[in-house]
Amino acid sequence: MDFSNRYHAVLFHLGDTPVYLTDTLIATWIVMGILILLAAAVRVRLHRFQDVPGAFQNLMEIAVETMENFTKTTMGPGNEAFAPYFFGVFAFILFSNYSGLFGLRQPTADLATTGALAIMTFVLIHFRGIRKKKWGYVKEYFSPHPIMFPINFVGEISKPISLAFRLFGNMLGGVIIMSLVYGMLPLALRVILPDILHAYFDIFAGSLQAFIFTILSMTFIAEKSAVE
Amino acid sequence: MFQSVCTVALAGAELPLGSILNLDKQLLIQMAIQALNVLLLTGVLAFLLYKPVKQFMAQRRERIAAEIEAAQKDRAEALELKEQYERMIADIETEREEILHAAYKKAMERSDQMLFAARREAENIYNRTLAELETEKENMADEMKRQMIEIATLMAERFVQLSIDRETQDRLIAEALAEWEES
Repeated sequence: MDFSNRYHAVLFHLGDTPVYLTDTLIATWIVMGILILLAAAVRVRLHRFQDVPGAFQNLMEIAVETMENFTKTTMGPGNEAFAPYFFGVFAFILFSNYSGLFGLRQPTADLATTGALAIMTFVLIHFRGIRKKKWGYVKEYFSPHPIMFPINFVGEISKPISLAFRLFGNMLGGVIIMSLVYGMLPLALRVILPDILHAYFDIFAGSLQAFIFTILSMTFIAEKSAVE
Repeated sequence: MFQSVCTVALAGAELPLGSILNLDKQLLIQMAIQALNVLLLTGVLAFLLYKPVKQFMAQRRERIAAEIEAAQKDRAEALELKEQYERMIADIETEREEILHAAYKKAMERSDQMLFAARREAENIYNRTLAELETEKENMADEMKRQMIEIATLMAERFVQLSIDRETQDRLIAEALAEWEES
């Protein structure tokens, strides 16, 4: 029974360190390929979009409009530029979580993926905060009293860590449980019971975790960039 | 479970076993690769999907808003035109009533004039007829007198021829003529 993110090949060397082709990278590129193909299909079919949309056009419009409205309501006015970024992040996490349905090891069950996403959020939080508040951004770490600096600092550092480990832990938990179930069940019973668990761990928990990661990232950025 | 998906290990290469959570240099490198992957994906999705669809929806929203505005403007113009037409129809109705009233009045006056002329003409005819009848009556009376005179003369001549002489006859004629003249 192997839950690990396996190494399949050495892609290249970075100095003395080999960079491996992992399950996560393969699954990530498959998910990226599917999403890019979908986006290309939309771009190709865009000139055939009608005022009264068909099923495909309707789905795409709902996705875009929902993310646009969601960004506005969560982050407030003036932050609409983040909507395309969070659309991509949400789609990537969602499709990554769903990839477990097709036998792939979810990219989000790897700390490298969730850590990368969390660090990107961390960078956006502070980049946006500095840009919006200038010196006020630094003052916040010393408020309400300079003695609070260590707590404030740790509070900021804990945000990406909690983001990364929440998503990683939830998805890895699903992977481990599913592996245990597959290992425990005889071959004949590997059809119905795992399906129910896949529906919970991959679809329900996967959608929920994608939503939680996105909304928390939005909230952190908006909170840090809010000018009093 | 994942054996069927991605086994592309290099033949003969000695690879370490996979990891679940190793906080090492490999994790940082993999994080950097994943960050690049996600940035690339979000960029492509934004360029190919999000922005074009958003732009399409914005253009459609603007076009529909413009169409609604134009439709409301057309409707306002149509309502104004309708009011104008209704006013015109009301004016025409009033004018029609006035024309009809004037024509009726004129017809009545003309009718009165014609009746009056007819009455006057009838009266003239009546009077003329009465005058003609009177004249005719007088003529007839004269004629009767003339005939009576002739008859009386004839009778008198016959009587005179039988009973009186010429001198007496003339005297009697003269006396008769004198009496007629007096009457």
